[in-house]
Amino acid sequence: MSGIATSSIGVGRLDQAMFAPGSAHRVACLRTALVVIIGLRLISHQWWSMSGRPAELFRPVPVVSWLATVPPMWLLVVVEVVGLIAVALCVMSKWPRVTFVMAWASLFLLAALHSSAGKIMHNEVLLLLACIPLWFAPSWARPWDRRESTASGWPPRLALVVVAIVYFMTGLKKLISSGLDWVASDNLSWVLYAGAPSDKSVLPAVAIALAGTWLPPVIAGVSLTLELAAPLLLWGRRSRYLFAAGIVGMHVGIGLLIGLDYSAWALTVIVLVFPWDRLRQATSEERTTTRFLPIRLAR
Amino acid sequence: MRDLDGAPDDNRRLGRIVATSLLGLLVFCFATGNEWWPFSSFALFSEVRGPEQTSWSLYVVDSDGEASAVVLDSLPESHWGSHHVLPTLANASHHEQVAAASAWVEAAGYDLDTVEQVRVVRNVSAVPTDLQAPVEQISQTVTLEIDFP
Repeated sequence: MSGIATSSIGVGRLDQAMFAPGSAHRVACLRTALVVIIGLRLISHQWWSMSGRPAELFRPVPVVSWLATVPPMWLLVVVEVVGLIAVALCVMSKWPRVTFVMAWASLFLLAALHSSAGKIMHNEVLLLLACIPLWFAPSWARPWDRRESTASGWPPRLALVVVAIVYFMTGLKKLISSGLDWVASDNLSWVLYAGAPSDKSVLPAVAIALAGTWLPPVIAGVSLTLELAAPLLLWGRRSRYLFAAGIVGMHVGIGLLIGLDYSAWALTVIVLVFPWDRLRQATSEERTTTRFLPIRLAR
Repeated sequence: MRDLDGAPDDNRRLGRIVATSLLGLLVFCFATGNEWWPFSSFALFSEVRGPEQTSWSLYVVDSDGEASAVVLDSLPESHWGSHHVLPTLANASHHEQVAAASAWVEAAGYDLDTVEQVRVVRNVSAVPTDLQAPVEQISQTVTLEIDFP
């Protein structure tokens, strides 16, 4: 009985923390930063190169299973251009809620098609999932807006929870599939050896050299710990920065050594843990000081 | 007190619906292994890698019985990544197998009228521990033979 009461108190506290008022400035800045990442992803890939894939080789993920094959090139280009226009409008705070969803939908459609070749691609997944709570961010919220509301509070917090759960599940999956062998064996060394010859590897020689040292199990242990501890680390304000630094290091390392592009994951974590409210406070203090400076001098 | 976007209770209700649906779907797909992209089971490098690696290739057998490899990397960009379909072809119907194989073979420049059979081959090789070392083939297994009509 007391266990049920304690857990309901716990849920109540979580609920209170999640739905406490939050600043319009933070949610607006976060929405803008996320839409910029969407824009970067839209321009960093030749999405139109998918067109012409025969229907027989099209293995659609469920969200695009209504399509017979990849749409023609002109349509992919239109989707990308519409997405980029929406990004630009959202950055300029023009109908930000609608344009944010439009930009998201463009990347969603193109990335879903890209993931429809027989292998699930995860490169855009974290960004797309973390953006979903921001669909509901208030349309009136603007950067530097001092107002606070319930509507501005929960979308950024829920996005952070989504990121924490995704990283946790990624780590847990490793433990379930491979146990501690994932860390303690030569697993990461073989990942490095296998990935180094890839055309996309920037530092293949470093990958090969690193694979032959005692470091890979240590790196694997740190990475797995970071993933499993994501919910705890993202809960605390200071530990968030530690998590972000570790995760960014991990994704940069993966990119440089074996050429896998998880930059959208790293950027999503950065913008989610960035202290947008402190930026506003710091800037308003600066503005206040500047405004009152002549008066002080006059005295 | 009313919130800027309506009553705070309405916002909380909306937030709870969104949070429950989003987190519920995430956990469901993880627990069941369903890949409802972008919801996923998040199997990212989750299997332990070893000193061997597997790749898949395609061979065309012509009317003279000569087999030649289709260089999948040289196919048009629209076909890039389609080699991921190869391991799953064995579970498809013969009609689907012929259709998929025709798509690769045609894109590689073969005349379909001269193709007797297409073979799907599973290659196991040693992971090179040196960038200059040649790939050491360990085994090649024909997993599927698709006879062309």
